[in-house]
This record gives sequence, structure tokens and C-alpha cells, in this order.
Amino acid sequence: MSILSYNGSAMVAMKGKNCVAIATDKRFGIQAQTVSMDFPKVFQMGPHLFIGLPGLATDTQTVMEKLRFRKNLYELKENRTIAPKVFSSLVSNMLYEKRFGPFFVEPVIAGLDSKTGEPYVCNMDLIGCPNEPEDFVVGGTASAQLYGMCEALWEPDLGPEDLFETISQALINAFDRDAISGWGATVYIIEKDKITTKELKTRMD
Amino acid sequence: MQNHKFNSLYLTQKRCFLQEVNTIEVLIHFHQKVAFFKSTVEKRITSPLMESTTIEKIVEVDKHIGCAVSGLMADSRTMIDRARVECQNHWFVYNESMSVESCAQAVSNLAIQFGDSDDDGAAMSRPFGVAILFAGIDEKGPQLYHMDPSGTFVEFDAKAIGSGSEGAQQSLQEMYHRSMTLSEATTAALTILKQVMEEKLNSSNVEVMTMTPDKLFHMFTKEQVEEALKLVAVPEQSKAAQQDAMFSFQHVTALEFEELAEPHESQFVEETADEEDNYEDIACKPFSSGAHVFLKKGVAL
Repeated sequence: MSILSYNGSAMVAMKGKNCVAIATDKRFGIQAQTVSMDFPKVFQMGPHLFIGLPGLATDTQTVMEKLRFRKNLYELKENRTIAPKVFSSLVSNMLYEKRFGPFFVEPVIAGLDSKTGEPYVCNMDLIGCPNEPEDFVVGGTASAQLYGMCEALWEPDLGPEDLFETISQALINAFDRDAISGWGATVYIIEKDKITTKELKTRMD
Repeated sequence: MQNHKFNSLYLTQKRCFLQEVNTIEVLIHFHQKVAFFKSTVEKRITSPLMESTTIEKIVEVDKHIGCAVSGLMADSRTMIDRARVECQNHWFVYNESMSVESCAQAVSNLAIQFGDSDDDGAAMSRPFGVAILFAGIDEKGPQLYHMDPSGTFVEFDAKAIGSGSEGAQQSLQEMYHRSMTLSEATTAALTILKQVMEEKLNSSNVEVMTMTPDKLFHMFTKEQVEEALKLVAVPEQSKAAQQDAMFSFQHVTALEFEELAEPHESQFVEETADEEDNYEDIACKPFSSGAHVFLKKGVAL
């Protein structure tokens, strides 16, 4: 049994044309047993910044609170909203601080830069090694399946509607092949002027 | 009651620092929208045996932030070190350059920790006897902050600190305008420095630094300083009168302090300056009188 697959999760974030999308499943389970079907794993950190925390559920909740604390302090001291890249560095630093007793989460970050509006996605391992690609990032127990689906479906410069379709199909078909993730899904599409939240109808098993 | 004691203690200590200010210097920064700075500093060379290169008045805090300090040099090292550590820490955690204001804020937090012991018992007995000018370039553009021993920092377009700074600040107000070029600023700063300095300006008792978007922190080399000094207008006065003018500090009262900007006024010439024997005594005196005058004015305020 691996600690990172104790609760189970599936998460993906994709870049589009002047937009990003982040999607997650909603299962909270303890090994084989499903406990809840509306467990939040993606959190809004800024007007155009979201972070998903797949992994051990208790660490999902604690890391979220700790990040909120650090981000708020930064914004108060600097008197400006935090940029996605800087937020990434903040998360990475926080995780590495616990190098020899880490938090069991592998964050997925998605956002738009407040000044330029440029899309940004990032994921990292449990000790904070960042990965900032040009296309998509995945996380959770269904990550292998997600990599396959995203590689097949993603193409550059998708508009918000197309991006929504792409990310939804990638997520659903991936977590349907994983026993411990699924049971509903939420998709957030982040554009310069609005954020759209959509709940997906999925196989509830 | 407690507050009152605290305030008077602070004032006494501040007075001591001003007396101990062992350098007559003027630090001038210009803040311009074309985004560059000039900072010129006088280093008071008290002896020809002194190795002038070891007196460091302008220091680098980060690639994009520089500082000029005035006051107790030992205290200044502690503050500059804090500024450097904070900048690097910010880079380490956030992977971005620290903003100039945040840097000034960090040093200010250190400066303010003096007085009667706090709840945790850790407090310095006296404030830092240093005034600092922070000059840097960040997302907001070029910025100049002045910080005094209390930790208060204010943004300026142009500022002079050190003894003789009142006169220099006046001249700055007249000379400065936002559309100055770098070379204009250099010449203006050095001219003002020359006006308030006792000694003749040369490349070994002046430090110059520029902060530009392309080269960031850049300290002038000896040759560059000499080049800049050549462009400074030579005042129309005889060399003898200039020497006499140095000793004129002795007879300056608080009222006449403003006129220190033009020390070559003949009415201030001290009679005993003509005698070779008293040369040494007089040379020692100007500083203490100068500081005393500075104090008088300060307390009167």
C-alpha cells in the first residue's frame, strides 16, 4: 500500500488560448471504501489562480490552509496579488522545507498571469520539484491514464469551449480506468474576465 | 510616563549619534523617469595615511538595489547585512527579485527594535545611528527611499543626507527636474557635493554609483570618477581663499548655517588661518564646530 494511493484522486490542468482549465474528480475514499462524493480537492487562491492537491486527503486540507496563510502574508506585505509563477515557487519552497518528512500531496497549479494574461500550468512532486510545461499537467492515482488521454486529445490554442470538452473527456475516460478515483467531476475554466465552474455527469462507480 | 521617558532617551541617543557623525558627507540620489540613479558620496579622509578604498559608503544589497549610508559605520554594516539576507531569502522562496519598498521595510523592522525590553525580552538598548538611502529598480520602476534611525522610510525624487545636507537639499530642490539625463545628474550631484564639502573633490574621496535598467548596480571606477569631475564647473575663487574657507566653520553660528553652501565668502575668513603654527589646531576644530552647528539647528527644529 502506498500512502499516495490511500485516498485516490485524479486531476488535470490544461493550457488553452488565453485561458486555462483545471479539472478534478470528487471521490473521498479510504482504500476500497468510498466515504464522500463531493470532497473538494481544487481550491481558488487568487482571482485567476487555482491549485489542486491530489494525494493524502488530510495533507490536502492542511497544505491548502498553510498555502492560504503564506499567500495572504505575501499579498499583505507586498501589497499586490501574487503571480502564478511566484505562487509556484512558494509552494515548492514550502514542500521542500519538509524534505525528510514530506506532505503527501503532488500539487497541480493553473492560472493566468494578472498583468499579461498569459496561461500558466505547473505540477510538482511531493518534495517540491516543479514542472512547467507548455501543454498540460496531471496528478493523482490516475496520472498514468491521464497522461495517455491528454497526449492523445490535447492540441495547442484551444478556445474556452473546446478546452472544456477536451479536458472533460480526458479526465472522465482516465478516471473510469482507475478504481479509486472518479465518483463525479468538477471543471474550472479560467479566462481573463470570468471563471466558469461546471459539474460533470459521470459513472458513479 | 513610560512613553515620556522613552522619548527623551531616544532624543539623547540621537544627539549622541549626530555628534559622533565622523564624516562630513553628502549623499545625493536622483530619481528619474528614464530610470537611472546617480549617487555621490564624500569620504572624509582624516589622514593621508588612510587607505581611502576601505571606506565603503555605497554598498550593493542586490543586483537591482544599492544603498548609501551615513552615520555610525559599524551600525550600518548590521543593517546592510539584514537587507542583503532579506533580498536573498525573498529570491530563494519566491524566485523573484525583492521590491525596493519591501527591502526598506525589512530593514525598518530591524531599526525599530530598541527601547525598554519587550515581552520576549529581546531589544536593543539604543537605535541604530544610521540614515540610509535605498536606490533600486523593480516592477514599479526606479525608486529612492530615505530611512532614518527611527526606521521611518519615505520615498524621494532626490535626497541629500549627512552633515551639510540641508544646504545640499536646498540646491537639489533648485537643480533637480524630472527630465534630467544621466550626465546632467552626475554633474549636478558632484557640483552640489563640491559646494558642501570641505576638501577638494578628487577621485579618492568621492564614490559614485549609478542604477540603470540595463547595467543595474554599477560603481564608478577611479577613471570614470575623474572623467565626471572634469565636467564639474570650477568655482571662480583663488586657491588661497579656498583654503581659508575650510576653516571658516569655526565662526559659523546657527543663523549662518544656510550660507555654508558658499564657503568661499571672504567675510568668514579666520584671521589666525594665516599663521602656519595654528594650522594643525584649526584643522581639528572645524569638525566639532560643524557638528555643533548641525545639532543646534536640529534641536531648534
